[in-house]
Amino acid sequence: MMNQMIVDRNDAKLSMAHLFIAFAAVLLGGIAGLLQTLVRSGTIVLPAGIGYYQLLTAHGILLALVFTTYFIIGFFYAGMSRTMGKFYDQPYRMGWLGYIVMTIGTVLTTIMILLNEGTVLYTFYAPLKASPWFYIGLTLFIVGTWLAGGAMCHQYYIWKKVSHKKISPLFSFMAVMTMVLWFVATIGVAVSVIFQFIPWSFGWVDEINILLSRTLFWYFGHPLVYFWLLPAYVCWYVIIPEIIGGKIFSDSLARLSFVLFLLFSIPVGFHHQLLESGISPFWKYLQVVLTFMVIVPSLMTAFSLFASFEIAGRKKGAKGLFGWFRALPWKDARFFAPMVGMLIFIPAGAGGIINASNQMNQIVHNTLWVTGHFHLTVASSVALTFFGIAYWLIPHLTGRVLTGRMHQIANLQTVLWAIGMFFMSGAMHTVGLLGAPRRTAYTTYQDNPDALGWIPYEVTMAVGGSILFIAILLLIYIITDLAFFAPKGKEDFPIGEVAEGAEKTPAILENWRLWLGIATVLILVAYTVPVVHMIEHAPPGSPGYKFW
Amino acid sequence: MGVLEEKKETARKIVTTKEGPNLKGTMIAVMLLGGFIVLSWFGVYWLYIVRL
Repeated sequence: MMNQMIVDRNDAKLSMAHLFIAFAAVLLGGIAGLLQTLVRSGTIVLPAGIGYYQLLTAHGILLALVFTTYFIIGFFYAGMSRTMGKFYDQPYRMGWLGYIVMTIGTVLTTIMILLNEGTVLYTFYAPLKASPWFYIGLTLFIVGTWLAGGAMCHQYYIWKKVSHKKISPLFSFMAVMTMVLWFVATIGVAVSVIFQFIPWSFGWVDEINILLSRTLFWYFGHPLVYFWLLPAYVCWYVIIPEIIGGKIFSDSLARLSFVLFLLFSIPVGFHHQLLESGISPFWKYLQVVLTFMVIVPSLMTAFSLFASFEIAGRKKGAKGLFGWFRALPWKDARFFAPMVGMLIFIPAGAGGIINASNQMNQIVHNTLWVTGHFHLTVASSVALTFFGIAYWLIPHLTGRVLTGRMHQIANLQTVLWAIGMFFMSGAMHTVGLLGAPRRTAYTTYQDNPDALGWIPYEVTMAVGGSILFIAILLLIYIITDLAFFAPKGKEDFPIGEVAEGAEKTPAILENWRLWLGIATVLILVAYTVPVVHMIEHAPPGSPGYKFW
Repeated sequence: MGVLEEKKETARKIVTTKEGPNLKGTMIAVMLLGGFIVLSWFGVYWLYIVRL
């Protein structure tokens, strides 16, 4: 059951089942996004009683949760099958069970949103109260992802036992690390939904501790960002070097950066709550410091990627300080889409550091700047990387090929996405600095001059959103073609090799007890005292509200 | 030449013959990236100060 270059046929079906739902969610979420930008700019009024916030909830859930999670799990199943061999029976069955449970949860949640019974946005902040079935749907979704993560960990465990190897393939290590991060992160949201939201929404209890619910949400919410990002990093570290004809700069560095993400992406949720009363400044300060520690593995990643590019370029004869940059395969859609994602991650990361800084957060908190920020991170860096993966992964799984013509269309898709996002996210960032709030339908605030000054930016957002929607239609065309109509053939599943001369990977980097132990200590240090305080000295509980 | 000198000589040869890849461009690129982050940060910090 060793590296077999192609994904097993049954594993391919499991992977494709996830990818289909992922891209269906992109289409539906994209329609919601387009309508939102048109409403927000005052261009249209929604017909048939459809609410702006209903669309906003659908957009957030379908894109930030459904698209990303289904894609990530489908990608990981395929990559683990490629690097460790066919899934063993038990994890394989667990994978399908996870898919079914996740899908029941997704359908239930979507129905509640369509019925206007779950219009609480994807962060479902209390005291907004949805139907209990909305929260039950979300719970099933999370339980399904746990089964998926369990399937991957089980496969990894059996592989290590059978192969007697201390170091697993880099792809599989990264996949398991991402799922472990997900397990630890989702504990917070699961506790909140099961013990707070479900009893409250059924009316079994009258009030909810809002501060605690938000804290548990952001305990999950920030590592969620890394759950989106790490699979993109898998592509950047493991797959891109092979596509550009180069090597992985260092296996150890790649693994260490993933270990650091596990340690430093969880005990940092308070940087989303810097303006929340009821949390002592000391604990906010501590978590801001821990947040800034994440810059270390991020810059390690940047260094490693640039190094892979430079070494590959110089091998091809590139001269000068930056000649290697031109030598990259810009016409190859498998490279171009993720590379544009990487370049967009530079301003995205810089914006993230600004958001997490205590004083600057007061400038940008709850403004459209933040919306602009995560449209650069998850909706550009991550999304474009996922699209770039799909361009070779789907034909690999369906026994087809990515043709030259499709490369060109895919590159056009990437260009359109970048242009659309430049207008939309750029306008969001700028108008956010001018004070325009996020999560707000069209209003002129009784013709307040400041608010009227925001409208040109909101129109720019609508122009960008419209370009992005055209890019989504193009994407769906490409995905449909690659899944059903592209010529039959063999498309490679690129997996990079480590550069000659790179140091041997130390076994300690795969010592799960050690890293999970340190992660647990950091979480306990960062959260125990403030959470006990929130329970012991709880603020007055709140009844539920339904404003829609 | 004593044993210690021989060992030192061998170590010197290893150091001088094992050339790493040329990563000057990488170095500059990462420094530019760091510079961009610092500039953006101070840009918004300035905004914070003037709005105080």
